[in-house]
Amino acid sequence: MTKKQKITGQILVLAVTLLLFVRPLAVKLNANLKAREQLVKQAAELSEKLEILNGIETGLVDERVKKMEAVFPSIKPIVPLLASLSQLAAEHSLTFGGLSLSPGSLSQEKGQSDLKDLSFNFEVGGDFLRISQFMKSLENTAPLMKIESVSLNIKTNPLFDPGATQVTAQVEVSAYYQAPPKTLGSIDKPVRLLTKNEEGLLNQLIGFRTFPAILPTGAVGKEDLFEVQPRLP
Amino acid sequence: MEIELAKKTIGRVRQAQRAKRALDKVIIWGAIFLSLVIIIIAAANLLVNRENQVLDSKIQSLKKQIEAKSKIENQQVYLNSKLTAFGGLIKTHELHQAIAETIFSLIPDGTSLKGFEVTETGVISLAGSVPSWGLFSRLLTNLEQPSRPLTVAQSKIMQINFTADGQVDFDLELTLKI
Repeated sequence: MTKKQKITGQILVLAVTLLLFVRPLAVKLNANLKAREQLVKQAAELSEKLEILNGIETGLVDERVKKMEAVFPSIKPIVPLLASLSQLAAEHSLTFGGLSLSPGSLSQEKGQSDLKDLSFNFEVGGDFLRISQFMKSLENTAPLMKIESVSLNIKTNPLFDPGATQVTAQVEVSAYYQAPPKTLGSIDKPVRLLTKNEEGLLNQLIGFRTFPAILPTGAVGKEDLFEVQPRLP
Repeated sequence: MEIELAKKTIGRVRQAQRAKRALDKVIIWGAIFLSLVIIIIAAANLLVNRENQVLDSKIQSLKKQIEAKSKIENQQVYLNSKLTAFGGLIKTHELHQAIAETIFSLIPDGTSLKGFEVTETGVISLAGSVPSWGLFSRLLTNLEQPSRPLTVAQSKIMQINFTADGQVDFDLELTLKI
C-alpha cells in the first residue's frame, strides 16, 4: 500500500467514523442538553408553583370563594335577591312589594364570562328615616346591587299615626353577576398571587351582609364547584 | 576502503521509513483521540440522559403534588378572574353610594322626591315636590351648606312651580365634588 493510498484510506475511515458515530452522538447530546435545560426550567417553575400553592391557606381561600359567590355570583342571583330584599325590608320594618323583574333564562349562559347585570324594580313603604337606612343597607347587601333610580312619594296614613310621614319608595336596582372563567388553572400555568389592591377588595367582601336563602333539602347536582372528581379504576 | 554506492538510496529509504513511522503514529494517535471523543460524547450523553430521567420523575412527582392542590389552584384562578370585574364595580358602587347618601342628606323631611338621576357627565338631576315654601327654602339652604360625604359644587334650579295648595314642584341640577 502506497503512502498516498494509506492517507486516502485514513481520511475515508475518519470521515465514515465522524459521519456514522460522532455526528449522531453529538446531535443526540445537543438534544439531550436542550431537553435538560427545558426540564430544569419546568421543574423550577413547578417547584415555585407548588410552594405558592402550599402557602395558600385552604380555609381562607374557601371562605373567600364562598363570600365572592354570595356577593358577586356566577349565575343570575334571583333567589338570593328576593331573600335579601324581603328580609332587609322586614328588618327595617318596611313593607315590601311591587317587585318586577324579567330574569330570562335561569340557566348559566354557555361561553359567556362577561359582566352581566339584572335590573328590577320594587317598592318599599315606611317612614322616611327607615327608608333612608334601608337604601344605605341595600348597597352593602349581597348580592352586589346598585341603586339606579329612586322615586319617593309621601303616603301618610292618617288612620294609624297622623304625625308620621309614610313614604313609598319605588327603587330601580341592578344586580351584577359574572360566569366563572372558561378554563380553570392548568398544571403548567403559574399561579398568580393576589396583589395588595386585590387583597383589599377581598376584605371589602366581608362588609357585605348575606341573608339566608331558602334552599331545597334534596341533593342537587355538584355541591362543590372545585372538587376534583375521583378517577375510576 | 569502503565505497558508499547506495548512500543516496539508503538515505531516501530511511527518510521514507521515518515518514511512514510518523504517519503510523499520527494514525494511531488519531484513532485513540477519535475513540476518546466517541467515548466522552457517549458518556456525556448517558449522563445527561440519566439526569433528564431524574428530572422527569421529579417533574411527575411535582405534577402529582400540584394536582392534589388543584382545588386551591382553581379557586385562586376563579378569584383572580372575578376580582378584575369586581374591582371596577366596587369603585362605581362606592361613588354611587356616596352620591345617594349625599342626596338623602340634602332633602329635608316631607320632601316628595320624584327621582334622581346621575347623567354620564356626573350631573345629578333631582326632581320632586315639597308641601310648603318653607321646606323648599330649607332644601336650598341645605344645598349651600357643606354636605357629606360629597359636597355640592354647583346647583342650578331648572324649574319651580307653585301650586294653588302651596306645594312647590322643583327640578334641580346638581354637580357634586367627586
